[in-house]
Amino acid sequence: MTAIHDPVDIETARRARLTDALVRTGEGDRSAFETVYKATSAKLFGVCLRIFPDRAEAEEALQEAYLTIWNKAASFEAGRASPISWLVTVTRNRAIDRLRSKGKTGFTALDEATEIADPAPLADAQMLIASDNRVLNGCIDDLNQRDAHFIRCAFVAGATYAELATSEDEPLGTVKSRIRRALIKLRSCMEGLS
Amino acid sequence: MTMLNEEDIAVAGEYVLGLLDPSADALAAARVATDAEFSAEVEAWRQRLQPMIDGNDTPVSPDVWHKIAAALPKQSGQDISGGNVRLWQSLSGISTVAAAIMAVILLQQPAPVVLPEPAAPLIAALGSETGRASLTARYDSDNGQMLLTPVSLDTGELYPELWIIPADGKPRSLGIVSGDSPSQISINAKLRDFIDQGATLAITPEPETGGPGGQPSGPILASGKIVSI
Repeated sequence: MTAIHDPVDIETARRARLTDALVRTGEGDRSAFETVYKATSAKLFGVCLRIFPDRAEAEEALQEAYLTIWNKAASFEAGRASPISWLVTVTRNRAIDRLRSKGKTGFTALDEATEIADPAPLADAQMLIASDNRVLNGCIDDLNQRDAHFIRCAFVAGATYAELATSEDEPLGTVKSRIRRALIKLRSCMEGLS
Repeated sequence: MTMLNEEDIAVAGEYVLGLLDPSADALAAARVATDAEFSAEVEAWRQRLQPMIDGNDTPVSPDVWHKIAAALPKQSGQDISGGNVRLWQSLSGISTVAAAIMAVILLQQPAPVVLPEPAAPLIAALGSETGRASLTARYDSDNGQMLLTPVSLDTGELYPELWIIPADGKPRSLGIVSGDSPSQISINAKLRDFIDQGATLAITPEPETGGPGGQPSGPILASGKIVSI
Protein backbone atom coordinates (compact mmCIF):
# COMPACT_ATOMS: atom_id res chain seq x y z
CA MET A 1 0.00 0.00 0.00
CA THR A 2 1.52 3.34 -1.01
CA ALA A 3 1.34 6.27 1.34
CA ILE A 4 -1.22 8.17 -0.71
CA HIS A 5 -3.73 5.35 -0.43
CA ASP A 6 -3.22 4.92 3.27
CA PRO A 7 -6.63 5.79 4.78
CA VAL A 8 -4.89 7.45 7.74
CA ASP A 9 -2.97 9.83 5.43
CA ILE A 10 -6.07 10.60 3.41
CA GLU A 11 -7.97 11.32 6.62
CA THR A 12 -5.16 13.57 7.91
CA ALA A 13 -5.05 15.55 4.65
CA ARG A 14 -8.83 15.88 4.61
CA ARG A 15 -8.84 17.13 8.17
CA ALA A 16 -6.10 19.69 7.45
CA ARG A 17 -8.04 21.05 4.45
CA LEU A 18 -11.24 21.26 6.46
CA THR A 19 -9.49 22.96 9.40
CA ASP A 20 -8.05 25.56 7.04
CA ALA A 21 -11.42 26.20 5.36
CA LEU A 22 -13.18 26.52 8.72
CA VAL A 23 -10.59 29.00 10.04
CA ARG A 24 -10.97 31.09 6.86
CA THR A 25 -14.76 30.93 7.24
CA GLY A 26 -14.24 32.52 10.66
CA GLU A 27 -12.44 35.35 8.87
CA GLY A 28 -15.54 35.95 6.74
CA ASP A 29 -14.33 34.09 3.63
CA ARG A 30 -17.46 33.00 1.81
CA SER A 31 -15.73 30.70 -0.69
CA ALA A 32 -14.04 28.89 2.23
CA PHE A 33 -17.50 28.49 3.76
CA GLU A 34 -18.69 26.91 0.51
CA THR A 35 -15.70 24.53 0.70
CA VAL A 36 -16.75 23.56 4.23
CA TYR A 37 -20.32 23.05 3.01
CA LYS A 38 -19.30 20.85 0.08
CA ALA A 39 -17.02 18.73 2.25
CA THR A 40 -19.47 18.24 5.12
CA SER A 41 -23.09 18.79 4.05
CA ALA A 42 -23.78 15.10 3.34
CA LYS A 43 -22.42 14.12 6.74
CA LEU A 44 -24.22 16.90 8.65
CA PHE A 45 -27.44 16.14 6.76
CA GLY A 46 -27.06 12.57 8.05
CA VAL A 47 -26.88 14.03 11.59
CA CYS A 48 -30.00 16.17 10.98
CA LEU A 49 -31.88 13.14 9.61
CA ARG A 50 -31.08 11.23 12.83
CA ILE A 51 -32.76 14.01 14.81
CA PHE A 52 -35.51 14.86 12.28
CA PRO A 53 -36.48 11.78 10.25
CA ASP A 54 -38.73 14.03 8.13
CA ARG A 55 -36.58 15.12 5.20
CA ALA A 56 -38.05 18.63 4.81
CA GLU A 57 -37.56 19.33 8.49
CA ALA A 58 -34.03 17.92 8.41
CA GLU A 59 -33.23 20.27 5.51
CA GLU A 60 -34.46 23.26 7.52
CA ALA A 61 -32.38 22.11 10.49
CA LEU A 62 -29.37 21.81 8.17
CA GLN A 63 -29.84 25.38 6.88
CA GLU A 64 -30.00 26.70 10.44
CA ALA A 65 -26.92 24.68 11.35
CA TYR A 66 -24.84 26.13 8.51
CA LEU A 67 -25.89 29.71 9.32
CA THR A 68 -24.85 29.03 12.93
CA ILE A 69 -21.56 27.60 11.63
CA TRP A 70 -21.02 30.79 9.58
CA ASN A 71 -21.75 32.98 12.60
CA LYS A 72 -19.66 30.98 15.06
CA ALA A 73 -16.74 29.86 12.89
CA ALA A 74 -14.51 32.56 14.41
CA SER A 75 -14.82 30.76 17.76
CA PHE A 76 -13.47 27.47 16.36
CA GLU A 77 -10.05 26.82 17.88
CA ALA A 78 -8.06 24.59 15.55
CA GLY A 79 -5.70 23.40 18.29
CA ARG A 80 -8.42 22.31 20.69
CA ALA A 81 -11.08 20.56 18.65
CA SER A 82 -11.30 18.50 15.50
CA PRO A 83 -13.21 20.38 12.80
CA ILE A 84 -15.67 17.52 12.29
CA SER A 85 -16.34 17.20 16.00
CA TRP A 86 -16.94 20.98 16.19
CA LEU A 87 -19.26 20.97 13.15
CA VAL A 88 -21.24 17.97 14.43
CA THR A 89 -21.55 19.61 17.87
CA VAL A 90 -22.89 22.88 16.42
CA THR A 91 -25.30 20.96 14.16
CA ARG A 92 -26.52 18.64 16.91
CA ASN A 93 -27.02 21.48 19.42
CA ARG A 94 -28.85 23.68 16.91
CA ALA A 95 -31.10 20.80 15.84
CA ILE A 96 -31.88 19.88 19.46
CA ASP A 97 -32.77 23.55 20.15
CA ARG A 98 -35.16 23.34 17.20
CA LEU A 99 -36.61 20.09 18.52
CA ARG A 100 -37.07 21.64 22.00
CA SER A 101 -38.78 24.72 20.56
CA LYS A 102 -41.29 22.37 18.95
CA GLY A 103 -41.78 20.44 22.20
CA LYS A 104 -40.80 17.17 20.55
CA THR A 105 -38.09 15.95 22.90
CA GLY A 106 -38.46 13.01 25.20
CA PHE A 107 -37.18 9.82 26.73
CA THR A 108 -39.21 7.68 24.38
CA ALA A 109 -38.87 9.94 21.35
CA LEU A 110 -36.14 7.78 19.88
CA ASP A 111 -37.22 4.51 18.34
CA GLU A 112 -35.15 1.77 19.96
CA ALA A 113 -35.03 -0.14 16.71
CA THR A 114 -33.22 2.70 14.94
CA GLU A 115 -30.83 3.64 17.70
CA ILE A 116 -27.62 3.00 15.81
CA ALA A 117 -27.68 3.86 12.13
CA ASP A 118 -27.03 1.02 9.72
CA PRO A 119 -23.45 1.18 8.57
CA ALA A 120 -23.04 2.52 5.03
CA PRO A 121 -20.91 0.57 2.56
CA LEU A 122 -17.36 1.17 3.72
CA ALA A 123 -14.83 3.24 1.83
CA ASP A 124 -11.26 3.05 3.13
CA ALA A 125 -11.51 6.23 5.18
CA GLN A 126 -14.82 5.09 6.64
CA MET A 127 -13.17 2.01 8.13
CA LEU A 128 -11.73 4.31 10.80
CA ILE A 129 -15.17 5.64 11.63
CA ALA A 130 -16.57 2.12 11.74
CA SER A 131 -13.98 1.15 14.34
CA ASP A 132 -15.02 4.14 16.51
CA ASN A 133 -18.58 2.85 16.17
CA ARG A 134 -17.65 -0.61 17.35
CA VAL A 135 -15.90 0.73 20.45
CA LEU A 136 -18.91 2.86 21.42
CA ASN A 137 -21.46 0.16 20.65
CA GLY A 138 -19.49 -2.51 22.52
CA CYS A 139 -19.29 -0.31 25.62
CA ILE A 140 -22.90 0.88 25.39
CA ASP A 141 -23.96 -2.77 25.36
CA ASP A 142 -22.21 -3.22 28.73
CA LEU A 143 -24.46 -0.63 30.37
CA ASN A 144 -27.87 -1.18 31.92
CA GLN A 145 -30.22 -1.11 28.92
CA ARG A 146 -32.43 1.67 30.25
CA ASP A 147 -29.39 3.85 31.06
CA ALA A 148 -27.96 3.23 27.59
CA HIS A 149 -31.30 4.08 25.99
CA PHE A 150 -31.56 7.27 28.02
CA ILE A 151 -28.03 8.40 27.07
CA ARG A 152 -28.98 7.93 23.41
CA CYS A 153 -32.27 9.78 23.90
CA ALA A 154 -30.51 12.69 25.62
CA PHE A 155 -27.95 13.02 22.85
CA VAL A 156 -30.16 12.35 19.82
CA ALA A 157 -33.62 13.44 21.04
CA GLY A 158 -32.83 16.07 23.71
CA ALA A 159 -34.33 14.06 26.58
CA THR A 160 -33.89 15.57 30.06
CA TYR A 161 -33.34 14.07 33.53
CA ALA A 162 -36.85 15.21 34.45
CA GLU A 163 -38.34 13.18 31.58
CA LEU A 164 -36.37 10.11 32.60
CA ALA A 165 -37.40 10.50 36.26
CA THR A 166 -41.07 10.72 35.26
CA SER A 167 -40.82 7.74 32.97
CA GLU A 168 -39.01 5.59 35.60
CA ASP A 169 -41.03 6.99 38.51
CA GLU A 170 -37.79 7.57 40.40
CA PRO A 171 -36.57 10.68 42.27
CA LEU A 172 -34.56 13.10 40.12
CA GLY A 173 -31.46 12.69 42.30
CA THR A 174 -31.51 8.91 41.96
CA VAL A 175 -31.82 9.15 38.20
CA LYS A 176 -28.98 11.68 38.00
CA SER A 177 -26.53 9.59 40.01
CA ARG A 178 -27.51 6.47 38.03
CA ILE A 179 -26.69 8.19 34.72
CA ARG A 180 -23.49 9.71 36.10
CA ARG A 181 -22.31 6.25 37.14
CA ALA A 182 -23.22 4.95 33.70
CA LEU A 183 -21.17 7.75 32.08
CA ILE A 184 -18.11 6.94 34.20
CA LYS A 185 -18.49 3.26 33.31
CA LEU A 186 -18.88 4.07 29.61
CA ARG A 187 -15.74 6.21 29.64
CA SER A 188 -13.63 3.58 31.44
CA CYS A 189 -14.77 0.97 28.97
CA MET A 190 -14.03 3.16 25.92
CA GLU A 191 -10.65 4.34 27.21
CA GLY A 192 -9.73 0.74 27.95
CA LEU A 193 -10.63 -0.47 24.48
CA SER A 194 -9.29 2.36 22.35
CA MET B 1 -3.69 22.52 35.28
CA THR B 2 -6.16 20.69 37.42
CA MET B 3 -6.47 16.93 37.72
CA LEU B 4 -10.01 15.93 36.84
CA ASN B 5 -11.94 13.75 39.26
CA GLU B 6 -14.93 11.53 38.47
CA GLU B 7 -17.33 14.37 39.21
CA ASP B 8 -15.60 16.59 36.61
CA ILE B 9 -15.61 13.77 34.06
CA ALA B 10 -19.32 13.11 34.59
CA VAL B 11 -20.10 16.85 34.32
CA ALA B 12 -18.14 17.03 31.04
CA GLY B 13 -20.25 14.12 29.72
CA GLU B 14 -23.50 15.68 30.92
CA TYR B 15 -22.47 18.97 29.30
CA VAL B 16 -22.00 17.28 25.92
CA LEU B 17 -25.28 15.39 26.31
CA GLY B 18 -27.10 18.66 27.13
CA LEU B 19 -28.25 17.39 30.53
CA LEU B 20 -27.05 20.23 32.77
CA ASP B 21 -29.44 22.82 34.16
CA PRO B 22 -28.81 26.39 32.93
CA SER B 23 -26.52 27.50 35.76
CA ALA B 24 -24.41 24.32 35.72
CA ASP B 25 -24.31 24.57 31.94
CA ALA B 26 -22.99 28.14 32.13
CA LEU B 27 -20.39 27.07 34.68
CA ALA B 28 -19.27 24.20 32.42
CA ALA B 29 -19.09 26.56 29.40
CA ALA B 30 -16.92 28.94 31.43
CA ARG B 31 -14.67 26.02 32.46
CA VAL B 32 -14.26 24.94 28.84
CA ALA B 33 -12.95 28.45 28.11
CA THR B 34 -10.53 28.56 31.04
CA ASP B 35 -9.56 24.99 32.05
CA ALA B 36 -7.52 23.10 29.44
CA GLU B 37 -8.00 19.69 31.07
CA PHE B 38 -11.75 20.08 31.36
CA SER B 39 -11.92 21.37 27.79
CA ALA B 40 -9.96 18.31 26.58
CA GLU B 41 -12.36 16.01 28.45
CA VAL B 42 -15.36 17.74 26.81
CA GLU B 43 -13.75 17.26 23.39
CA ALA B 44 -13.06 13.60 24.27
CA TRP B 45 -16.73 13.10 25.19
CA ARG B 46 -17.79 14.67 21.88
CA GLN B 47 -15.62 12.21 20.01
CA ARG B 48 -16.74 9.27 22.15
CA LEU B 49 -20.43 10.00 21.61
CA GLN B 50 -20.28 11.18 18.01
CA PRO B 51 -20.96 7.74 16.44
CA MET B 52 -24.35 7.85 18.21
CA ILE B 53 -25.43 10.93 16.26
CA ASP B 54 -23.78 10.00 12.97
CA GLY B 55 -26.29 8.95 10.36
CA ASN B 56 -25.56 7.77 6.88
CA ASP B 57 -23.99 10.43 4.69
CA THR B 58 -26.87 11.71 2.54
CA PRO B 59 -26.56 14.05 -0.47
CA VAL B 60 -28.45 17.30 -0.01
CA SER B 61 -30.64 18.99 -2.62
CA PRO B 62 -28.81 21.97 -4.27
CA ASP B 63 -31.70 24.20 -3.11
CA VAL B 64 -30.39 23.99 0.44
CA TRP B 65 -27.07 25.66 -0.43
CA HIS B 66 -28.89 28.34 -2.42
CA LYS B 67 -31.07 29.16 0.58
CA ILE B 68 -28.05 29.28 2.90
CA ALA B 69 -26.09 31.47 0.47
CA ALA B 70 -29.08 33.82 0.12
CA ALA B 71 -29.22 34.27 3.89
CA LEU B 72 -25.56 35.30 4.16
CA PRO B 73 -24.50 38.94 4.05
CA LYS B 74 -23.67 39.74 0.42
CA GLN B 75 -19.98 40.05 -0.45
CA SER B 76 -20.16 41.97 -3.70
CA GLY B 77 -21.19 45.61 -3.94
CA GLN B 78 -19.48 48.94 -3.30
CA ASP B 79 -20.30 49.48 0.32
CA ILE B 80 -20.60 45.95 1.65
CA SER B 81 -17.12 44.53 1.56
CA GLY B 82 -15.70 41.42 3.15
CA GLY B 83 -14.26 43.78 5.74
CA ASN B 84 -17.74 44.84 6.75
CA VAL B 85 -18.81 41.25 7.08
CA ARG B 86 -15.91 40.72 9.46
CA LEU B 87 -16.88 43.83 11.35
CA TRP B 88 -20.41 42.51 11.75
CA GLN B 89 -19.14 39.20 12.99
CA SER B 90 -16.86 40.88 15.50
CA LEU B 91 -19.14 43.68 16.73
CA SER B 92 -19.73 42.99 20.36
CA GLY B 93 -22.59 45.40 20.73
CA ILE B 94 -25.13 43.73 18.50
CA SER B 95 -26.86 40.45 18.88
CA THR B 96 -27.02 37.95 16.06
CA VAL B 97 -30.71 38.67 15.66
CA ALA B 98 -30.03 42.40 15.40
CA ALA B 99 -27.27 41.65 12.89
CA ALA B 100 -29.68 39.55 10.85
CA ILE B 101 -32.25 42.37 10.87
CA MET B 102 -29.55 44.89 9.85
CA ALA B 103 -28.51 42.58 7.06
CA VAL B 104 -32.05 42.56 5.72
CA ILE B 105 -32.48 46.33 5.96
CA LEU B 106 -29.07 47.34 4.61
CA LEU B 107 -28.74 44.78 1.89
CA GLN B 108 -32.38 44.83 0.82
CA GLN B 109 -32.11 41.13 0.31
CA PRO B 110 -35.12 38.83 0.52
CA ALA B 111 -35.80 37.73 4.07
CA PRO B 112 -34.08 34.41 4.78
CA VAL B 113 -36.45 31.47 4.99
CA VAL B 114 -34.70 30.06 8.04
CA LEU B 115 -35.46 31.09 11.60
CA PRO B 116 -33.17 33.72 13.09
CA GLU B 117 -30.58 32.21 15.39
CA PRO B 118 -31.16 32.99 19.08
CA ALA B 119 -28.68 35.55 20.44
CA ALA B 120 -25.59 33.90 21.91
CA PRO B 121 -25.95 33.82 25.69
CA LEU B 122 -23.60 36.04 27.68
CA ILE B 123 -21.89 34.53 30.68
CA ALA B 124 -19.50 35.65 33.39
CA ALA B 125 -17.55 33.77 36.03
CA LEU B 126 -17.21 36.03 39.07
CA GLY B 127 -14.26 35.28 41.31
CA SER B 128 -11.88 36.80 43.84
CA GLU B 129 -8.11 36.75 44.08
CA THR B 130 -8.31 34.73 47.27
CA GLY B 131 -10.62 32.21 45.59
CA ARG B 132 -13.03 32.53 48.52
CA ALA B 133 -15.93 33.92 46.52
CA SER B 134 -17.22 32.53 43.26
CA LEU B 135 -20.43 32.92 41.25
CA THR B 136 -21.59 32.43 37.70
CA ALA B 137 -23.93 34.59 35.67
CA ARG B 138 -25.78 33.80 32.48
CA TYR B 139 -27.69 36.49 30.59
CA ASP B 140 -30.22 36.08 27.83
CA SER B 141 -30.41 39.35 25.90
CA ASP B 142 -33.60 38.23 24.14
CA ASN B 143 -35.65 38.52 27.33
CA GLY B 144 -33.40 40.51 29.70
CA GLN B 145 -33.20 37.68 32.22
CA MET B 146 -30.03 36.98 34.19
CA LEU B 147 -29.43 33.83 36.19
CA LEU B 148 -26.89 34.37 38.96
CA THR B 149 -25.63 31.27 40.73
CA PRO B 150 -23.44 31.57 43.82
CA VAL B 151 -20.92 28.74 44.23
CA SER B 152 -19.41 30.21 47.36
CA LEU B 153 -20.09 33.63 48.82
CA ASP B 154 -19.96 35.00 52.35
CA THR B 155 -21.09 38.56 53.06
CA GLY B 156 -21.32 38.11 56.84
CA GLU B 157 -24.02 40.33 58.35
CA LEU B 158 -24.44 42.23 55.09
CA TYR B 159 -26.20 41.42 51.82
CA PRO B 160 -24.63 40.74 48.40
CA GLU B 161 -25.39 43.49 45.88
CA LEU B 162 -24.75 42.87 42.17
CA TRP B 163 -23.31 45.67 40.02
CA ILE B 164 -22.74 46.08 36.31
CA ILE B 165 -19.65 48.16 35.47
CA PRO B 166 -19.57 49.08 31.76
CA ALA B 167 -16.73 50.76 29.85
CA ASP B 168 -17.31 54.13 31.60
CA GLY B 169 -16.27 52.52 34.89
CA LYS B 170 -19.43 53.64 36.76
CA PRO B 171 -21.17 50.86 38.71
CA ARG B 172 -24.95 50.51 38.26
CA SER B 173 -26.86 48.38 40.75
CA LEU B 174 -28.63 45.24 39.56
CA GLY B 175 -30.05 44.72 43.03
CA ILE B 176 -29.51 42.63 46.15
CA VAL B 177 -29.13 38.93 45.34
CA SER B 178 -29.12 35.71 47.30
CA GLY B 179 -25.76 34.54 48.59
CA ASP B 180 -26.67 30.89 48.85
CA SER B 181 -29.16 30.04 46.10
CA PRO B 182 -29.56 30.97 42.41
CA SER B 183 -31.28 34.30 41.67
CA GLN B 184 -33.29 34.92 38.52
CA ILE B 185 -32.96 38.65 37.87
CA SER B 186 -35.11 40.57 35.42
CA ILE B 187 -32.78 43.35 34.26
CA ASN B 188 -34.35 46.82 34.21
CA ALA B 189 -34.89 47.87 30.58
CA LYS B 190 -32.74 51.01 31.12
CA LEU B 191 -29.76 48.89 32.16
CA ARG B 192 -29.97 46.15 29.52
CA ASP B 193 -27.64 47.94 27.08
CA PHE B 194 -24.89 47.82 29.69
CA ILE B 195 -24.99 44.00 29.92
CA ASP B 196 -22.56 43.20 27.16
CA GLN B 197 -19.26 41.56 26.32
CA GLY B 198 -16.36 43.22 28.11
CA ALA B 199 -18.46 44.83 30.87
CA THR B 200 -17.76 43.68 34.43
CA LEU B 201 -20.16 42.16 36.94
CA ALA B 202 -19.21 42.62 40.59
CA ILE B 203 -20.52 41.79 44.06
CA THR B 204 -20.11 44.00 47.13
CA PRO B 205 -21.48 43.54 50.68
CA GLU B 206 -24.14 46.16 51.39
CA PRO B 207 -26.96 46.97 53.83
CA GLU B 208 -30.30 45.26 53.16
CA THR B 209 -31.59 48.31 51.25
CA GLY B 210 -28.52 48.44 49.01
CA GLY B 211 -25.47 50.70 48.83
CA PRO B 212 -26.26 54.24 50.11
CA GLY B 213 -27.13 56.61 47.26
CA GLY B 214 -27.13 53.73 44.80
CA GLN B 215 -23.36 53.44 45.05
CA PRO B 216 -21.25 50.53 46.35
CA SER B 217 -19.89 51.12 49.84
CA GLY B 218 -18.23 47.76 50.53
CA PRO B 219 -15.17 46.15 48.93
CA ILE B 220 -15.55 44.07 45.75
CA LEU B 221 -15.82 40.45 46.91
CA ALA B 222 -16.03 38.90 43.46
CA SER B 223 -15.93 40.20 39.91
CA GLY B 224 -15.70 38.92 36.36
CA LYS B 225 -15.92 40.10 32.75
CA ILE B 226 -18.88 39.18 30.57
CA VAL B 227 -18.07 36.99 27.58
CA SER B 228 -20.18 35.58 24.76
CA ILE B 229 -20.36 31.83 24.28
